[in-house]
Amino acid sequence: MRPGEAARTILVLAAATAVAAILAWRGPLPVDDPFRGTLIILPLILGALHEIQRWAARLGGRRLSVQGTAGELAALAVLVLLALARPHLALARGEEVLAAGFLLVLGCRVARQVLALRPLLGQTLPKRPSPLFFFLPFAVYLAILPWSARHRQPDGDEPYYLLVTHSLAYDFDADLTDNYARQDWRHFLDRAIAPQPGDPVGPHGERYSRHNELLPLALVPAYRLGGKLGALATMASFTALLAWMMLRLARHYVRGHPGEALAAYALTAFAPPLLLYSYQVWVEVPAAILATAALDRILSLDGQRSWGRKEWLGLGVPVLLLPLLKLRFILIAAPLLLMGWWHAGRPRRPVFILAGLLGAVAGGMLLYNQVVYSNPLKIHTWQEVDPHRYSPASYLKGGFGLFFDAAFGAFGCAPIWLLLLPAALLLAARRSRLLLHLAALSLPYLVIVAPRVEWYGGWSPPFRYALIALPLLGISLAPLLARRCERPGAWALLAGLGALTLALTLVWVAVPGWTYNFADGRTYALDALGSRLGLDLARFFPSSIRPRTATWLWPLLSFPIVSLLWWLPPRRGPRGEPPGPAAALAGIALLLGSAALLLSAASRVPTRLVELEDAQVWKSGGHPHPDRWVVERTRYRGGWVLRVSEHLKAPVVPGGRKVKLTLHAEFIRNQPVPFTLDIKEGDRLLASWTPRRERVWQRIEVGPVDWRAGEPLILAAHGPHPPGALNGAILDSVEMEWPPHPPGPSLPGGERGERP
Amino acid sequence: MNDPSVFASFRSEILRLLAPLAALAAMAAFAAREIDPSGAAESAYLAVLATAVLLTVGFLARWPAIELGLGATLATAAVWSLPPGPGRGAAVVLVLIATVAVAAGRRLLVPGAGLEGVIPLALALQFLLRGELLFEPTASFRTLVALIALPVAGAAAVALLARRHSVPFALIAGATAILLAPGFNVAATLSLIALAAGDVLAWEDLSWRAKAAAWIVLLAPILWEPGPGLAAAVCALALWRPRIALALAALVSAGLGWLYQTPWEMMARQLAWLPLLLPAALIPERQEIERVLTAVLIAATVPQVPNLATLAAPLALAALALRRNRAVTVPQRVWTGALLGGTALLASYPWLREEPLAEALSLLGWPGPALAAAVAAVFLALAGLGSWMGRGWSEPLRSTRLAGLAAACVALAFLLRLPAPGTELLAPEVPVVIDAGHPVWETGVPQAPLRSVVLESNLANGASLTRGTPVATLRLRDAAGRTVGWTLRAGEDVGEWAARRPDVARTATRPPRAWISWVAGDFFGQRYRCRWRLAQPDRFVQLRIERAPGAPPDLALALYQLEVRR
Repeated sequence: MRPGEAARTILVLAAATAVAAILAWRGPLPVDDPFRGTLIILPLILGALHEIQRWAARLGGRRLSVQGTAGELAALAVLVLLALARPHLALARGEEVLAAGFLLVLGCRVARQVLALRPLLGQTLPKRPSPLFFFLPFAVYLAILPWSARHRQPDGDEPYYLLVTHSLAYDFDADLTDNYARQDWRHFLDRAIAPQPGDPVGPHGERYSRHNELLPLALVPAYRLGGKLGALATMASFTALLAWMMLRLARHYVRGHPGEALAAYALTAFAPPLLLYSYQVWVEVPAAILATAALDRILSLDGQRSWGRKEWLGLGVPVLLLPLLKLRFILIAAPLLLMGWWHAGRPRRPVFILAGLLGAVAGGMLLYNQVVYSNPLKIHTWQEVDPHRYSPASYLKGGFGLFFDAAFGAFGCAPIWLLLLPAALLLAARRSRLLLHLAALSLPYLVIVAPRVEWYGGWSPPFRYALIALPLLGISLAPLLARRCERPGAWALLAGLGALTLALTLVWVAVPGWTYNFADGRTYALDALGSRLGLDLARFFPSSIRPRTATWLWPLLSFPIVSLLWWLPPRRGPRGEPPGPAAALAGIALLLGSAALLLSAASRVPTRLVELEDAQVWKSGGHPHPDRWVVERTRYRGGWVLRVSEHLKAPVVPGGRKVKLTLHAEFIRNQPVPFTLDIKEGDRLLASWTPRRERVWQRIEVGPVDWRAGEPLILAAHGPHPPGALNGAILDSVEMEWPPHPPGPSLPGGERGERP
Repeated sequence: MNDPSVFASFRSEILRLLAPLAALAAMAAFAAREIDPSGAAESAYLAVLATAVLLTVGFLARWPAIELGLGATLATAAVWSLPPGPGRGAAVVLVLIATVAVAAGRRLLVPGAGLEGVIPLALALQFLLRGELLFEPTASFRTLVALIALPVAGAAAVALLARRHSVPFALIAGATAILLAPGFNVAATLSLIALAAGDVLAWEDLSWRAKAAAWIVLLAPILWEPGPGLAAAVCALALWRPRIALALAALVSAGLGWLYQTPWEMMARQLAWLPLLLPAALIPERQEIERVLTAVLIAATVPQVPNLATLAAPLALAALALRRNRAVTVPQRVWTGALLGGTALLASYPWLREEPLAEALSLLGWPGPALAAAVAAVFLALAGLGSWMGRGWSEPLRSTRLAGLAAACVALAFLLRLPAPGTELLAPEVPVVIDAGHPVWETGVPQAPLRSVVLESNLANGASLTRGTPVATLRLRDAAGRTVGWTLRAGEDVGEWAARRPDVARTATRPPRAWISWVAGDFFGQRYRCRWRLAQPDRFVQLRIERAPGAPPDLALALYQLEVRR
């Protein structure tokens, strides 16, 4: 590196910083404008991307086309103008549309720069990839940070990590009692937070967080300097480091496929779920860095029995830090230690020492927790981590859910990851050690995590618990991507799934709150569509929280379909042209056609179950049950509370001319007066339910009765309504059975609705 | 029409159609099931518009046609994910304009680019500039001519002009012609065709039959509309015999000026369009002086019957006579591209402006001699800078930097004209209705000195009100209790929301210019914007809007946005 070149970079970045500072001081947008932060940081991002590209070209990378850059700058100029004019236009969702536009321009630039970086990887993957592979994602994460941070308050565990960080930074302790009292959350949050249920309480009433202090410790310097944004920028740097580490690790598995490794790197770094974690405070990203670093060191051992400082530190530090980050990561640390022992030619001394140290760390933590919080697992119990307590179905639900669940799975937030299915088959067929490492590293951890009730990670973005395996999952795509040029199916899948992932990424970044789905078997996106169309779309997507046919059908079908499509035999055009571009267009057409088919299916496949709290069910009043923010909501039967004088209307797709209805409901008596629930087909009364028992779930069976196509199911509550709390019912669901022939009498034990 | 290697593959061509058609299926399926009828109608319109544009992009885009796939996906995603209303329309149209721009850029900005994509490009621009025709389209002869025949004929004319004048100049001529109407209307298309015929006459070794045909085509516009037709014919002749045409232009312009009694001021304003749209014409090649003078004479006097599109012939002629120097042509190309983009945006849903070019230019200042002078000054400075840059930099670098500089000037000019940030008092698209039941609405305002109040609103049941009828009063009250007021008047500040519904349009008084439109079933609903400028900036604490006491009982005023500006 010539000093002059580095000085130029420093000069460019200093100038960009100066412009950003001027914009922050005398910017054209008011303080509360949603684009203020983005426009302030824009010069810095432009400068950074420019310098990254300049260095890439200097180091042998490709040059970018001038026309492309001109187009990006023109688009950026238009977007900046629109952002400035936006308050005067008063268009609904204008902010989100513009944010998506900015992201598209950024995506275009990043795609070109990633391709330009390809020569830097040479013919075989280097041991130490260029730092540009760190700086590029870091610049991208910083670019989206102002928008995301403004549109999404820290959520889930994040505020508590930040509060611990604040306490460590300013009070030099982890006791949060005074921080809650002083409302220190105001430094990074607009809403009040209270201690989480079950948070440890010290012997003198001190309030601690259930979360460990290692991550907050790492955030302290940046937090002292830049407050919340400083902490989030540090998380962005961690995420970029993880992307770089992944590329470094890839050399152990796909050394001869640098192009494919680069594609896998780009997918991992710039697509969800990692992109969504880049601006959030979760332990999973630093844990993944530690695990990747340890694995990289392990695979470099190559039978080296005598360890030097590099080996001790390279393996020892991550293994010992992992449980300090979160106790459950001991289930990652232990397999790593075993793998280290195996790859180093099974030496006794290092493994005994490290195992002892790991045991001491874990034991010390358990002992400390026991002494201070009276529970070695802080808020958890030993029963929770006992694998025998769970049924195989729990493992299946959680395991599939991590990938397939529409709300919390990797495929739901970024369908391009469906390529993992053929990739897994390929690795298995080749008996790749990558698959073995992936299993060894993640299975002990997943055995504990997957069957839990909160397998999805609680109130969190998708794929939380499995994020630690993301680098290996990303690398596992590289062998699959080799020789894709000749496969039309591969191109079609890449384009179709890629286009869908792009569209979803725009939504997730433009509306960051939509990545935090409620654990109710639906997603914000499906709810929005369902309420506009009056169709139950969620039933076609898998959910491990509310298991349904799609939950099992998707894994069963997607494995063979995606795999077969990927390996469609190579075909060239009549003039020998490669199938790629044409197949890619076909893939996008297939995607769009599937969207049309989905709506067609939603309006034709008979309704068999109506979850009455769902978005497509229109309600005149009432509220969901249980409360949206109740802890471990999945333990409850989700429903809708309908009170006297309120009604709801559910769209029904008939599956025949007759139907048998089964309503699951619970009566809530607040007044000693009668309560009646009418069950109607449109305006026609089918039955009335007058409950006698209260606070008991009941099945109310109606029919079989005639059902006219096009009529909605209406449930209307009525009765006297004296002053005070009204009587009502929690309505869970209505099963609709469409018998081909008139069935026999209703099942015993059920309560029958009275026919009018 | 496409890359030779790909054109040969029937399968590939089918796939170019498949992506837009699949997008149509997805959007139409959505529209068919949308509960809100207005939303469904808007979805259907956007589906048709997007598919029409994407189909043309399919034939315009160079292989591998990434922009086609992305455009189809993003347009569909916008229709599916955004709430119905003008915001969604604006997003879809932005996606479509960007898709067309990328496809055109990739097709036309490569070295040695031909005119293979000019017909799809013309069709795409026609769908964007006259997208209103695709709203509830009927397969009538008139619609087909307007949507397909005119742009195809215009594109063919541009292709003919490109043979002698090179692709960039023919494209500038074509783009300038369609800016005026906007789109390919009869006047603009006939002008381009006449110019092409005049150009054909200049070809060597032309048979007498071809010459006769060219003459017929050249003179045909006169049959359509004698005044503008004669002007177009003279401009066309200038491409063959410039001196004769100049002499004829002097006679014709004098005749037209006398016949139509055009005042001098009007002539000056009309002439200002030349430097406004083609500032490069101010420094033509020496051998092109006659053509530019012909264009000047005709542009000043051609009658605007039926509209501004009659300027297409002189302006396109001037475009063909531009100086062949990149210091001049590069800024001109950027300026024409920016105008085309702005005009397309304002001509499309949800803006649907009657005079989108003038409205686009008005973002910089009111179109007229003053703005023309400003544009010309900046342009001449850029051209001078470009000439100076030519001494030190190699050609590609100079062009790139000059284009960047020109684009920056355009962006800066728009930026400088942006109004100061205001404070919105209402959430977007959530109207407040003032009617007989709720005659008053009031809200607090930020206590900063206010200069003006911008109101976006419309009337229901107000079509029959005569122009100037008071419908409401806006009052600002300060902390001391003093108030200032302003009367909102029908036909001037606000108009009927359903003014474009055929039954209302027949009987209603002419509403003011609409600010924004939305699909309200089978017609476009409208909102209007007005601005109340205070005599002097002052601090206020409350804004109150009261329904006019004498307003008809069923009259309702819907407030869509209230913005107070400092």
